[in-house]
Formats: sequence, structure tokens, C-alpha cells
Amino acid sequence: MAQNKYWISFKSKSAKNFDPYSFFDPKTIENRKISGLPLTDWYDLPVDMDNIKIVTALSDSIGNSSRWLNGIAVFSSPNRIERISKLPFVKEIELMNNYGKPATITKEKPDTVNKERKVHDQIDGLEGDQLAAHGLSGKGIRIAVLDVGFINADKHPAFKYLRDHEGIKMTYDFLHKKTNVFNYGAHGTAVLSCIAGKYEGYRMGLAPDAEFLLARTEREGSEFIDEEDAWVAAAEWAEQHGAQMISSSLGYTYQRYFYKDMNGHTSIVSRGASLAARKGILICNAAGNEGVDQWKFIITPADCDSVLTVGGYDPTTGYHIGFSSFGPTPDKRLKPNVIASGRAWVATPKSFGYEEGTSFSTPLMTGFVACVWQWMRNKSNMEIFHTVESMGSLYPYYDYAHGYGIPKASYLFNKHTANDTAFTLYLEDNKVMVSIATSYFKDTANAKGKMKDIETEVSISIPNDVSIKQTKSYLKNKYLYAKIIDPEGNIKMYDVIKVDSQRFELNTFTKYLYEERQLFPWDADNNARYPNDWTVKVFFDNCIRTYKF
Amino acid sequence: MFSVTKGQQVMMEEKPDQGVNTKFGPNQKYFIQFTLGAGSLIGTGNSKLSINDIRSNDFNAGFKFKRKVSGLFSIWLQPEFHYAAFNINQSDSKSLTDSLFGGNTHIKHQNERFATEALALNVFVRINFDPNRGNFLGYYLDLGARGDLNIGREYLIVDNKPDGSVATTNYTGVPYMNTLGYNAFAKIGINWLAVTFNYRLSSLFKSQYNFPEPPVYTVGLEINPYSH
Repeated sequence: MAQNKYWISFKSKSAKNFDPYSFFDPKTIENRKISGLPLTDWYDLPVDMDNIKIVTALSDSIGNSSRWLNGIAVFSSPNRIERISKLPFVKEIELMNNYGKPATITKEKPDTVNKERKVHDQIDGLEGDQLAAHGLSGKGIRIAVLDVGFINADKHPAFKYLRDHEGIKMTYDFLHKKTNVFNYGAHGTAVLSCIAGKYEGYRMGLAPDAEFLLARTEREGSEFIDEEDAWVAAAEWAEQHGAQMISSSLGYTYQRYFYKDMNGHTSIVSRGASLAARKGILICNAAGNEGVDQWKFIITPADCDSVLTVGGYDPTTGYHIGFSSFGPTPDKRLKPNVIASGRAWVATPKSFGYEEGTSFSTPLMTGFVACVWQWMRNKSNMEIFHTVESMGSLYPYYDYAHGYGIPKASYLFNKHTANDTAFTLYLEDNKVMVSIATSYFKDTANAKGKMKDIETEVSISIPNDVSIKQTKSYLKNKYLYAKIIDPEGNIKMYDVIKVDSQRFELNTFTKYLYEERQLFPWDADNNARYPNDWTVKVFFDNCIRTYKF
Repeated sequence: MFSVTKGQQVMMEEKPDQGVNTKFGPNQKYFIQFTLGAGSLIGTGNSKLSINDIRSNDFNAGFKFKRKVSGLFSIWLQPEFHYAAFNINQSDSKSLTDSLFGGNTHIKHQNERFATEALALNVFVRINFDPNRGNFLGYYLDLGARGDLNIGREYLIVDNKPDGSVATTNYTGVPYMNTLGYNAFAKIGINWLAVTFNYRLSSLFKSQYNFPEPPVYTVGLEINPYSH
């Protein structure tokens, strides 16, 4: 008889006496007091052992149980499940058999760059030096990292500092039910290095002084895996042992779900993640690497609204890196929330190397968030969540590729000031126009008869009787972000545009509104009329302009 | 460089609504994918027409079109190009084909084979073992039938000459092979990879010629790549 994996939810719990002081790590008690959360609630009560015993007897084998979800994973045949479903204490049975995967692509690349330069982009993008300058390094923050394995992390030179100050507090393998996690997979090793690793004395992540709980919840390299219950069990274990944060570069997509299921409450992991957030934990999860695949959108549990979903940007350009999954959720919620470098220098099993993926954007962000929380220790997880969003380079502008942009450490110490004079936005001859401030362009003197091409810097001869005024822009790596929003507030189209002239038309927007949408009738004079309440919003260099039709 | 107003370089553009396709996909209502297969005959036939099954291969390339009925069932059409070769063992007892040309029926060649090139249409039902799967193909059993229009019907012999040259004689459009053929098949698949079992229901040769038939079973592999 074919055997499947099922999640069995129970109706109630019978436990009456629960002592949080003996069950939880003292740090958990401290975290709950700081966050203003009750020391005990219904979700903390254990699952009834009698229920587990009866279900176990009717199953072929069991997986992980969950206090938060009041249930257990079992392996069973359809006949036996039929019998289990008739038990009076069973509320619901869901078929599992889903397959997760780490959000990583590509292999090691050769080492061709100088040492400091290797880690520069992943740290500098978040202005990590400013965090270090203020003494912020994640101290006092306990982070649980859920992954496929942490091979060689107990010996690798990248973690010598971590080992020396005993930063790894606890480990557990939820698949094999043992404490050793330093085997099986290297993905977690690379991820951990992006939080707490050091390369030749240079920081690879932003929280080397944080404390860590390492959990193995995934098998790597096999399609025959089903670990949502292990993820939830690890989240509960992390919370029980004082974790304030979870870093998860894992997710689930097409093998079990459709895009319509990415709603924050369908998958078991998203339900577990929501409960973890309710317990005061701030989860950073990878958005996924489906951006160029048919799936395209975010994975779960990144779909959960209380999970800080981290997308990736290209460190050479500063905007979205192609593979990073897009938002929104099916119910149009903003995702991802923020972005970090999608390419990082990481610890590999035997050495170091570059890797790409939102797997590494996530731990970079985890370290950043840990520093923010160290700075604002009395804030709750969701307050820190929204603070990090407000530190985004695009904030309050957002789109479904960048979220609120790259959080900048400087915004933690200095107010995020708007630049009201960077550009203007207006309608002219039925065209949506942008005019960049002249201060971004500067005249340069030319030698008579010669000039230098701005782009190539090659000297060009010009006739003596021709007068040329050449301008040089200061627009390197400054991109313009623009979007069209319908009356319901949904983004219908969004662009990233490279600015290379002072005044220009957003011609793709004009085309969209004018031709593709065919939204507006012509008036008596045969002029186009734009639809009411549609909005164009543009961001450039800390300036936001809105034009409402 | 000197222009004040011009179109800009759009580095990235997205329209969120266009990314959501709820009707097309591996486990959606419709799906199309490319397919490529190869197989080999099973069995050697009889003494009059002894087949070298290892060298008797078939290849197919085409597309699959799906219409989902439920999580459990779907209906597929698969038009394809199908090539099948029946390689003849050069045994003392073989008795076919040379007799057609008045020659010695036991002449041994370097290589001798029949081949068909067909425009084929497969129609099958797919049974998925995980009806609750997400948006991917999953594990399945296909049961169906294939009709062939043999646009190419060939008989080929290759002989090594005493002077070291190689003589290849290719007879095309041979009249003793059937133009139409039909088969039944089953495939067991895991996502993009399937093992195929084919049973040739029709005769390769026209009945009036009384030729012995080659083996009817073929086993093979099929790959059906697609992006998630």
C-alpha cells in the first residue's frame, strides 16, 4: 500500500500545569518580558501525549510534532489515515509530500580579487562600517539558522572567531533527531558565514558577536524530501531556547503549491512562521531564486506578512538581480520587503568562494537586523521589522522587485532626509515627462578643436568653427524608479531606468497608459484624456514625485 | 550626448499581472512541452527474420499538449516525428528481402535494415499518483495509442566491396511495407523523465507478401524538459 506523509491537527490540548521557567531558556523569558508578551499562552502548551500515542499506533512512522500548530506529521497509508480521521480528537488531516530547496545557485568561482575587496560589496551595500563604528555587531541577539547542514563549520577558519567566543550555543538535526549538524550539507556553512564569518580578519557578515542556534531541517540534493514539519519544529525549538531571530534561506514552491497558495496562511511553514512572529521572533527568509523561472514569484514562508522577506540586488548595479523572486503575494501584499546583495563571498566546505542567491542576501540582512535590534533593544520584533523597512534606500517608495530597497545603516543614526529638488514630474503634450535638476550635470571645458567623449573618454577632433558645450553627468549608479498604480492602489507596471539626459519622457509609461490599456476616450477636440485616479509615482535620489491623473 | 529630450534606457520592466498565469502550467488546465525519446526493440524475432534488437532503435521528437481533467487525470495529444529501424541479423537462415530481387536469399551484408519515418499522433490519458501536488508534473502513468503515417518506408543494405569500398543501397517507398501503423503504449514518469513501453499492434509488412514480422515490443526513455 502506498505511503504518504500527512499533517494531523488535533482539536484541543488538555495540559493544565505549565511552568514557563522550567521549560524555556532564561533568554526566552527575558525576550518575552522585553516584548511585552505573556510568559505562557495556549500555543506553548505541549501536544497531548495520549493523542500522539494513539496516532503513532495507527501510523507507519511519525515525523515532528508542533506545540504551536497542535499537531504531528505521520507517514501512513490511505487506509490507516482513514481510521485516524475518525478519531474524536483529530481536527484535520492534510497531505504533505512537499519538497523544499535552498535558495542558492552557482558554484564556487576562482579567487581573483584582493582580500578586502572580496567582502566589500556585501558589507558596504548595507553601510556595515557605520554599524561597526557604533559598536554594533549583533551582541546580545540570539539567532537560529535553519538549513540543510553546516559541514565543517566546527573547524572552518571563517568561524574561528565564533568558536573562540563560544557563539554557537546549541545545535540539533531535526531529520535524524541528533545534535550533530556539522555534516550533510554546505549550504548552511555558507549562510552562517554571511552572518558571522570572517575572512582574513575582514567581516563577511554584520553580526559576528551574535549567539547562534543551528538547526538542520532540510536534505540537500534530493527531490524526495518533506521538511515543513521539521522547519516548524525547529522554530519552536529556537523560541524555546531563547532565539530572537530566525534566518531561513529555505522555501517551498511548485512541488506542493501554486502561486495562489502564497498567501501567508496555506502552507504549514507560513502558519508556523506566523506563530513564531506572534512569539516575538523576527524571521528573515529568502524571497527565492525563481525570478527567471516559470514560478517567478516569492516562495513560502516568505509569503507570510510577518516574515521579513529578503530579495537580492546586483552589487555591480544596485538594482534587482535577475533570479531574485518577485512579489506581490496573490492578495497583492508587498513582497519582498527589502533587498541585500545577491552575490556574496562565503565559506565553502574547504575554503572560500563567491556564491549567488537570495540564500545569501538573507543572512546579510539577518546580521543587519541583529545590529539594529542591538541598538534598539527594547523594541518588539515587528517594531524592528518596520524600522528596517523604513531604512530602505527607496523608502517610502517600493515595488515588487526591490521592496523598500537596500536598508542603510546611516538611517539608523541620521534621519532619512528627502531630496525635494532632485527632479520634477509633469504631463506635457500627453507625455509623462521627467526633468532632472541641473545640479546633476556639470559643464567641462574643452580644448579648442578637441573634446573628450563622455562615455569612452576618447579624444575627438571637432571643426574649429563649431562650438560645442559638453556636459558631464553625475549619475553613475543612480537609477530612476517609476511605477503606475491603479485606483485600487495596485502596481500595474514598474520600471528601473538609467538616466542619461536632463529631460526625458517616460515613454514606456505613455505607451502603457495610452496604447496598451486604451483606458481613456478621446475628447471632442480629439485629444487623449488620461483616466482619473491612476497615478504615476517616481523615485530618484531620495526624492519622490507623484502625478495623479 | 547632446540631446535634451530622448527615450531612456529601461534597465528593468515588470507588469505584475502578466506574471500570473492560472491556466497554463504543468499542473494547470493547459500545458505544452517538448518531448524527445529513444527506444530499442525487445526480442530477436524468428529465424526467417532475425532482428538485432540492440541495433534496432527508434527515436521520436515532438510536442505534448495537455488538457487537465482533474488532479488525477489529464488528456494529452502528442504529435511527433517518429523514426524506427529494424536491423536484420545476417544469419544463415534469414530468408527475407533478397528474394524480392531474385537474388540469393542468404546473402550476408555488412548492414541490412528496414526503417520507417512517420508522422505520428499519440493520444493518451495520464493518471497522476499525487493529485494534490503543486505546479509540476509529479509521478504518473500514461496509457494511450499512437497512429503512424509512414511517409518514409525504406530498405537499406550496406556491403563492403573487395576493393575496400562500401556500397550502400537504399530502397525508398518500398511497396511491401504498410503506410499506416498503430501502437499501444504505457509510460511511467517522474516529472520530466519517463520509461516507455510500446506494443506495435499493426503489421510492418503488407499481408499479401507473407513476410515474417519483427518483434512488436519496444522499451525506451523519454525526456520532457520544462521550466518550473
